[in-house]
Amino acid sequence: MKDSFNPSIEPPKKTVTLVSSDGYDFEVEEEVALESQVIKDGFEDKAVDDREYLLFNVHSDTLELIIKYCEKHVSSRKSISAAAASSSSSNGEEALKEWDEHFISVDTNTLYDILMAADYLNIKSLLDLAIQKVADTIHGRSPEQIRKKFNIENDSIIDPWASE
Amino acid sequence: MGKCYSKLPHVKVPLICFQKGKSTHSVAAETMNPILLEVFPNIPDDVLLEILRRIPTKSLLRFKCVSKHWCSSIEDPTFVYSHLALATEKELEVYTLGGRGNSWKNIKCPSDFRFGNYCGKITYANGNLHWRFDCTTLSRMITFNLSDEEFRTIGVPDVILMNQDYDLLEFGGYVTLMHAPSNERKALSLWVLKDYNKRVWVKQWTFQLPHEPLYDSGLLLISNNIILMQSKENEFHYACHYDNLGQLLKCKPYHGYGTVKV
Repeated sequence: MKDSFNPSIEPPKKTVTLVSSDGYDFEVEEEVALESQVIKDGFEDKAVDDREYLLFNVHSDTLELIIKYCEKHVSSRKSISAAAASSSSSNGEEALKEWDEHFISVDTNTLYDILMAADYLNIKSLLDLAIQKVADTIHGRSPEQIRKKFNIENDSIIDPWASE
Repeated sequence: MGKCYSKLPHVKVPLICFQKGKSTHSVAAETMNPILLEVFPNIPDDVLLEILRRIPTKSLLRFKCVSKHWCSSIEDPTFVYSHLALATEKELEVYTLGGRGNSWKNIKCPSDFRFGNYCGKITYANGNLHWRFDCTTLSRMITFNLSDEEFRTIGVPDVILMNQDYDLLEFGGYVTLMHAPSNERKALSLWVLKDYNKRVWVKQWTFQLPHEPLYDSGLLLISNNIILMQSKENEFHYACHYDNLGQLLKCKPYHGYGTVKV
């Protein structure tokens, strides 16, 4: 019993296993996984040794990105609140915004994958980020310009804006 | 249908094409011309609406030609309001749709009107849209009348002190103001505005609550007999039943909003 309390040893971090649609296991820290509202809901009711989630709709390539995003947000939140607590000045939020902007500057296929995964896992901040990116990508373009940009054939549909 | 271009043969206009390289998702996609995947294949409607909500109005009108589905989504009044709500965060412009020519009309709001954090929330009642007038020392409400298309402000009841929180909702066809009296943390007062010309608020009910409510979680008024609330202390949800005079009869905890039987 004397070993039961030893403040110098940190308890091992609790982890959760996420399994991608193509069968890869990703072991992530609990707090990172809890960025997903879907995982968070009912998390406490699940037995500790049963914290494995099969993500049928998320490919490993995408899951890797999603985890990277969640880890960054968890760690940034900690350093932002630590800076606030010690009332030292910090540009943490600004830096995170820049990081987000860089993170979401991906090709269209990847953007689509991130969007769908963020919706499926219900990660609100990431979903917002992806939605805004798609909106920025398509706004101001005519359907014809978008076809060119995305290398899409015009399938001879009558396009009232073609002569614009 | 107006400008919905019903001549378009099908909804599959490739406005934007996501080609799936690995194709882990859709079997049907492989049987199609790979270049002509549908517009945002499989994208849930609510996500699509969120994307469209962030598109400026001018582009949005152009996107009506994408498909009948997009057209009806963009013309849907609920969408129009929610798109408007987001636009107000930047600069207040109201676009109305309908009438002759089926085109949008830009109505400028008086420049001294300030829409604060709550500008996203619009309450519709009695032919008017209502917003809280925020970021100001004045406790007022902004109204937009849908028939004369005019903005006006209406003061809120005097008992609501400066910077005190309140919420607007539609109840029984009228715009109703809900707030916690400053001297009582476990109570809720409802004020109703019936006459926009006289601008008189009538205090309809004061409800006693069993716990101090968590306002952010959304306090729901189902009828003048039932209130759904979340307690600030233990975070449980409660359904509170009242008699016709607003006296608390009983209160039961429940799980989730959808499951309570009224």
